[in-house]
Amino acid sequence: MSRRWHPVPVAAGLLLGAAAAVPAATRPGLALVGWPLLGAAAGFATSGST
Amino acid sequence: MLSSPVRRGTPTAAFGAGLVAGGCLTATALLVVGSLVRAPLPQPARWAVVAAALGALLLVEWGGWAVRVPQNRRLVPESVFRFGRHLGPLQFGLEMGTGARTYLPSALPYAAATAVALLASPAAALCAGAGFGLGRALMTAAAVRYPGPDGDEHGRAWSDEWSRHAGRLAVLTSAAVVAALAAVAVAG
Repeated sequence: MSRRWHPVPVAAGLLLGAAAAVPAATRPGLALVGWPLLGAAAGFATSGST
Repeated sequence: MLSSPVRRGTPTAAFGAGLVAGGCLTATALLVVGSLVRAPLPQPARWAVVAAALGALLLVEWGGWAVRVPQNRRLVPESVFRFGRHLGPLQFGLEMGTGARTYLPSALPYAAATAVALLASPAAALCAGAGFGLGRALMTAAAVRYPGPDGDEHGRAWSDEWSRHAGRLAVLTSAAVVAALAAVAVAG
């Protein structure tokens, strides 16, 4: 069932990406890398039921 | 929605484009409003406001503070699909991507909105808005790729899993927001 995208690993992947962005953001040309990840984490967080 | 024509083919791309456009639209509006608020505030004061808002919103997200953040308690009407095979999903995505035209069952977007309003450059705001749309697209894509045991591919199984792991997911998504803000902070 490799097609199944369980929410916990997807959220963990977002967290790993955001954590990797912290050192990356100090590099030239990557100063904006935190912004799309901020938006993506906030957007994905709206997955819960109402 | 997940059983709608949005699920397959080029309408999926239109839906995704709508989500990203909606996120960028809201980010632009936040930037305009924020430019009025941020003018008298020095950078450290703006960061202090963002940090205070983040702390409060994390409490809300984790259930430690019983406050309901504002949200538009309505579904995007399925009548948007009358606009056709591509414009319908585009409109659907646009409304969903703004974060203001339908349910918003998390407090974390308000942390991102505060940061955009008080800290972002125009390019950064558009990046955040596009990211918001992509985050919502990721949710939709993942949900349709999580069929239930009876072959249900309409997102119900995904929602059930989300509810089952709600506490863990609140921690993971909150930590992702905090880490992304840390990346913004170190970039200066």
